This record gives sequence, C-alpha cells and structure tokens, in this order.
Amino acid sequence: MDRQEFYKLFLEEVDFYEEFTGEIITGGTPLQNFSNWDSLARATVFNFVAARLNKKLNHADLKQCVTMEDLTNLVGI
Amino acid sequence: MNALIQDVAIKAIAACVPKNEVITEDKRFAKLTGIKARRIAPEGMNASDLGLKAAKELDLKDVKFVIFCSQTHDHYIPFVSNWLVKELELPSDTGTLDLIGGCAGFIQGLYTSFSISKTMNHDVLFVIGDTLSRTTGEHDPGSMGIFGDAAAAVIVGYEYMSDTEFSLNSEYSEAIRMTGGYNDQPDKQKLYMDGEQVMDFALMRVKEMINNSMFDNYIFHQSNMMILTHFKNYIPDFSNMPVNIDRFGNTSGASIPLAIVTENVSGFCNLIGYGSGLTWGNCETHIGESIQRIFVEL
Repeated sequence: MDRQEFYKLFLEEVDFYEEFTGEIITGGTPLQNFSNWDSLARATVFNFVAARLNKKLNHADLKQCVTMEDLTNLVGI
Repeated sequence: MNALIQDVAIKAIAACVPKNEVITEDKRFAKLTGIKARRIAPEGMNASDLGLKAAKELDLKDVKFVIFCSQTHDHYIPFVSNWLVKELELPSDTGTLDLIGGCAGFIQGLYTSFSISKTMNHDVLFVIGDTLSRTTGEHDPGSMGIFGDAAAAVIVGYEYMSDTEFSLNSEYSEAIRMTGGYNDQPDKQKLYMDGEQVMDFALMRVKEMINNSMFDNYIFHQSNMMILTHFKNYIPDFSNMPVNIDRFGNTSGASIPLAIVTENVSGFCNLIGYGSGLTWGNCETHIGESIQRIFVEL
C-alpha cells in the first residue's frame, strides 16, 4: 500500500462527520484538520491498520502524531 | 492466580434489562463502536431492582448464600445482598456478600460463588448489575454513549464431574475511575475512562487468555465492537463469538451472562472479562444445553 492509497482508506474507514474539504492530503496535512481527530478516530486507524496491514500500533504513539506524515511513518509506509 | 474447581457449575441464568431503549442517533458512533441501541434505566430504577427481577425468575430453594456485585450499588450500607435476601424471602441463615467489580466482575464474582458453593455444598445466588449510564456525561465525553444498564442473576451449585478453571489477574491503573468514594465527597458517582489506554490493555492482556482449546464459544465482555473485532481474529475458526453489544451497549459486569442468555450459548465456553482496576480474568466452563436461560425486562 502506498501513501495515496492509505489516505483514501483513512478517509473511508474513519468516516469523519464532515467531508474533508481541504486541499489534497499530503504528508504535511495536520490531523487536526480533519473534523474530529478524536479517540474514536484513532481507534479506527488502529483497527484498519491491524486488519489491512497486519501491523499493531500503540495508542500512545498514535496520540503523538501531529501530521499525516507522522501517521504514515508510524504505520511504516 | 489460577484455580480448578470441580463438581460445581452454572445451573441457571436470568438477565434483566430496562424496557427503555435508546437508539444511537450518531450514525458514525454507531458504526465505529457497533452500539446501535442501549437500554437505559429510568430515574429511580437501580441495579438492585434489575437484579431482583432476574433473581425472581430462578429456583432459589437450595440457595444458602447471596452475592451482589456492582460499581453502582444503591447505597453501601445496608448491603444490597441483604436487601435481596429480604425481598426474595430467603431464610436468615443465608450468607451475604457485596462486591465491587467492574467489567471483569462477572469472572471475579463467579469464582467467589464457585468457591463458596464448593465449601458449603449448597447453591449460591450471584447477582451482578450496573446502571453505569447515569455515571457518564459531559464530564467525560469519551465514555458517553457506550454504557447500557442491565443485571443478571446466576445460580451456582453442585454438578457431578464438572471441571471449571479460573484465571484472575490485576494491575493498578487509573485508566478507568469512578468518583463517589470518601475522598471524592461531595461528588456524585462520575465515571472517567481513557478508552485508548483501555483498548491497548485489553488487546495485550486478553490475548493471553485465548488458547486454542476446543471451545465451542468465546464469550467476551462486550466492551465495544472495535475491541471485539480484534478478538475475533485471535480465536479459532471453529469457535463462536456471541455478540449482543449492538442491542445493549456495554453493560459492564452483566455483559457476559446477558450474552449467554440472549445468544442462547451452551457447550464448552471460555468466558473472558476485562476492565476497571485494571482486572482481567477468564473462566473455562461447560454450560449445559438444558440450563434455564431467562430474559426479562423491567
């Protein structure tokens, strides 16, 4: 999975309340730009990364992510 | 700790939920947590009322001990277990014990019930229930919408050639905490939960209790669907994993017996609880096809 595919999956799975209307997602996109980057959203990322990429994250590390690049680095893509 | 208790088994289970059903209106929340509806106790209805209603459905003629387990006792004294003895018109030579237990409370209370039944050779009535919905609110957005109210009553007693294994574990953590104790006065009971910390804990610790024995069913505490989805991947293909969180939400300690009743579970079962404390434990036991499973509403 490349980063563009990950961004697409991220939006589908987390199902944010408001559609992301910002510019094209890049590594520098702050996660806070998504309408509700909350504990539920992080738990969903935790789940789909485990299911699709067979990789177990840690919520403490997830909480530290500020940008999309932090997240993709954590996931390892 | 681990323990094997022989010649004792679950003989009957009744579960009771409030009639009042609240549908989850937040579609995103419902999709991600799997909680589509919950039963919420109206003002004035306590965990003890739900437990009493369930207990009245059972055959109590050989009961010589009553245990009540909750995090939301009506009051600390007099004990709810004593109130149950009175309301159920049991004799005064009935032993009583109130326990404080969270989402692993069913395993803790069941172990206590099995131990007492084994030593006194009579039935134990074990009642577990909570009205956690009224301890959540704006003070802790992370726990809002998760908890439903419910209680269950279980008869534990003699069963020839029955083997049951228990495992109970603990570590101190404030990931889940409830105010309302002496140091918190004059606060009312309020629940605070760090859901992410709890999820990490559950996925790490519960995995330890999943072995590949030939269990017909793995009945997990119904915490939320995100956690249960992980557990589904851990268990063997031939085992079932009953789920009812979509209709009742997280009903804390009552969730396992409620699932046994609503999903009509029987056979060789691994019951797994995990939650506040932190505590986690499991019970490997046989649940007979013919035991009573009763569902009632109040």
